[in-house]
Amino acid sequence: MDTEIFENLRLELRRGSLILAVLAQLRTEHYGYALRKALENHGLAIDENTLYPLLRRLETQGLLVSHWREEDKRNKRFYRLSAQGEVVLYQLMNEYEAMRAAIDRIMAPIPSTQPVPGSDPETALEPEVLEPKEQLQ
Amino acid sequence: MTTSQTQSLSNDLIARYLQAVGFWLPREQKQDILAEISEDLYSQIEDRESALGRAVTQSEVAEILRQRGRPLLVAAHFLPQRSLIGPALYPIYIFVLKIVALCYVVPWLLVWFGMLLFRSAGWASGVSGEWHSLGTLWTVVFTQFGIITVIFAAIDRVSVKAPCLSQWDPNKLPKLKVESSTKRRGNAVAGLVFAIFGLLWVLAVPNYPFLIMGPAAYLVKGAPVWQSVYWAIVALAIASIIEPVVTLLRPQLTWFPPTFKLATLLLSGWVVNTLLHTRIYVLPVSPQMAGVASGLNLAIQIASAVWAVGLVIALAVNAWQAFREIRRTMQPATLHLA
Repeated sequence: MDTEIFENLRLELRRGSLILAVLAQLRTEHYGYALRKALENHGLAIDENTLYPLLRRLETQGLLVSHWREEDKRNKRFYRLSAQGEVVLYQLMNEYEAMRAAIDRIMAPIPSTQPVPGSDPETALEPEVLEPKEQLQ
Repeated sequence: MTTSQTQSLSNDLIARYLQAVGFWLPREQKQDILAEISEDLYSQIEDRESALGRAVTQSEVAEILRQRGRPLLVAAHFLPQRSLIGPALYPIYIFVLKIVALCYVVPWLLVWFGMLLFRSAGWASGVSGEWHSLGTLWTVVFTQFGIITVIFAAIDRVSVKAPCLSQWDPNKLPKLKVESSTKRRGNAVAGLVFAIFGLLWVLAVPNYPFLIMGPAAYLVKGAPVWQSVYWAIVALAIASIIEPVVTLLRPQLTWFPPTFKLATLLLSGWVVNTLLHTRIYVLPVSPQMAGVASGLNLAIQIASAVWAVGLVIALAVNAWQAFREIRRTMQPATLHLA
């Protein structure tokens, strides 16, 4: 059950990040399979059943442009970021940075030089460490 | 098998796979999507062959396709997200279905169950008519649910652009429901007073039959059936005292009243069942009073039948309330705003 909850939350967390990664990677032109490998090499494996529909959706939204071209004797569809996509990527990166900074601040250990009123001074000196179960809640 | 034969079989497998995926894709995008999936598959195979230093076998191609997923699921990723009724309307849709179930299906089932009881009590022969009507009920229920679903699906399509979902006034929200303990306590006290009078009345009836029959007590007398159910009626009268007493002393036991009521209703069920299986409730004190006794017997029989239907409804309601309260008691404590 916990695994299922984690898996669902992980997917939710990844969903937005994958869009950002795809847009960022497509600042240079890639065809589908090469894009998948490039992302994988950067440590962000993406399922092909997720990638191709996502590429189509981003293209429909005007964030990507694509064209078919022959390479190594095979027809391949190459994608790259559109002008509108560049603007949106910039905005998303700002949003992502702000969010990451906020989470970093939230997750930072609480400097507990002053005991919290009403709490045990000895335990208050310990940095706040969340148990895995608490982190999920 | 030669390399070209293996390649031919692999190509055939990929072509069959693409055909199966294509079956589910929209016609205008089909070729484009299939070309891209095909290219990806061949790139993957090429990579594998580079790593292995040889051509892939048919079974290895089959494994790649198996990992890719069932054709329907692969195609589904390319299709737009569709739902008949969106998340905004879904709670209302479920609410309406519940109302229909509560106001139509439940009463219908109770009446049907009551009719079945009367049949078993010997009022009529055969139950085939009841089974037939139960079949009709389900047809009507599914038709109603179908119509409601279609209506909501239509509203969902229209309401996407409707401003009513975004324009609302918080001041028009219903008042906060606060469970009044004073009201519960007052009800319990009133119930206790009536229950005590009720017990005294039940205990007095055997010696003073006019308390129940009025002037007819001089014309008819109680049949032996009352002796067999009298202890149960006294027990029910005592139970009606216990319930308000517990509510007053232990108000936190919210599961107790419906559960206890359920037990008393079951006992009442036994009483009404015994009465329904008996046709004679009163006997004439003299042969001249036979007509009066006959009329009273019929009246009591009809009253018992009505009581039986009411009892079935009360049983269903209390069973649901008891289940809800017990489930709530067993759930871990959660934060409540009120």
